[in-house]
Amino acid sequence: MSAVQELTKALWPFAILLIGFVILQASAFLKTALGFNKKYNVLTQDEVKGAFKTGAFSVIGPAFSVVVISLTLIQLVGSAATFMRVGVIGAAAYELNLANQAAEAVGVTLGSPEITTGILTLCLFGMVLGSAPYFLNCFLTLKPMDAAMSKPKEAGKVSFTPILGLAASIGLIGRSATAQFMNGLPNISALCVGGLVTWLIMQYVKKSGKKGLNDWILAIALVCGMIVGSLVRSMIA
Amino acid sequence: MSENTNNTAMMESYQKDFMKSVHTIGRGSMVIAALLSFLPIAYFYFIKGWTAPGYSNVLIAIVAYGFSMWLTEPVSYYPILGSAGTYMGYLAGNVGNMRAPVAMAIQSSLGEEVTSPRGNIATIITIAMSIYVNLCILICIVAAGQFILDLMPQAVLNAFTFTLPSLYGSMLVMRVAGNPKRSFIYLPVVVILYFLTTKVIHGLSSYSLAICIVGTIIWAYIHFKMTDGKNA
Repeated sequence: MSAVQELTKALWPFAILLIGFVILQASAFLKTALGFNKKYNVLTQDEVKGAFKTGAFSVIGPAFSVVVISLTLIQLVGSAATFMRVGVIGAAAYELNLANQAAEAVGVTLGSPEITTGILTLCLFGMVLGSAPYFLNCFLTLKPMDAAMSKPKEAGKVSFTPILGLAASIGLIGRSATAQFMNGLPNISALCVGGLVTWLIMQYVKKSGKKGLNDWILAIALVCGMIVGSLVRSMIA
Repeated sequence: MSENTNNTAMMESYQKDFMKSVHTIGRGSMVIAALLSFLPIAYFYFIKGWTAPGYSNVLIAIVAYGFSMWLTEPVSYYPILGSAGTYMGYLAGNVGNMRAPVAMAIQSSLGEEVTSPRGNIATIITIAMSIYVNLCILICIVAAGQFILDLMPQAVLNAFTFTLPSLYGSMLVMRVAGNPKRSFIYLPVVVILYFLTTKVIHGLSSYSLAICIVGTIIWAYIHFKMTDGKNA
């Protein structure tokens, strides 16, 4: 039995436990949110359904986009480690990088015959260490930030809080979009088409009143952007 | 009058009960997740005896690599995901390419920010759902990944490289459309900060994400103060 197979066999129970915990945490938040909504009706039933659909449909494209790199990770560290790490905190590319760094620190290449269960455990340690401090950060910072955000504003003054989210989103997406602009014409085409399709659907929803289409915007924009990006790449190749 | 009373009661319950539950679940889950993450390593190392040299080397390498991200990323995503969304996002992962996009999509669809109860409840539902679907897909990949890959034509696999640019194009338009006036005032600052942190001052590249987000928030605050919140 190879080292990867041996580690995979031993790791499965832990992986299932951790992934089960991810589901449990999401369910606890979901239950709390739905319970609050049931009591105060802050969202209509249609809006709740829309939120479910947006979460389900919009994530399919990005989730499949990590298939290839996840499969690479499976071959290098096994299916259980991939399941455990990509399903918890990790993005596949980030985890692959961490595993590589850990292996290289002891002068071994991932996937090579020199890999032992001990080195794979070290890689797992590298992957866990790469993401565990995020837990600590969230534990320490989120509650005080919420407390600061919920401070009552002085009477007659307009609050900056509603603008904060907009500014943060523009900072995040603006940076990511600018970075994509530097990656050549196919990426620029995909970016522009993704944006254009989104704008067209939003205009159509405004005019037709078919709000259900809002749940599909991201998914449709992704498919159109991927098609046009591929076409442009094949045209200039 | 009755509606105002209900609204006040709702806000009070939201701040006192709902947000308290969010942090109880969130903080508790962070501690348990950290323990569960290290549990197999402790088992393999101490019980199974699968040891290797170089733990201190790996520790130094990973700390040097991840420190800036650990410090700045959750705080940067918090204004988009909210506290519950950030707790979920940093446990389930894929914050930038899955949780933030779905959060922005639902907030844009409702015309709400995560700072409002409506925006926060909708964001929690959306992120939780995205986690379930993402895990289902991951299970399929782990169980039958190679088979799925073999079924897909190479052209489809190649097209996945354009997921991120398409995603960012769509998200940008959603956000800008919600408040075009302010967005166009903020965008040039983001572009300048991006180039400064990645092309001019290379030492700042690992802090680029945080600098772009925090810098934009600071600029938005300055602009807000200059216009005295008239357009808020």
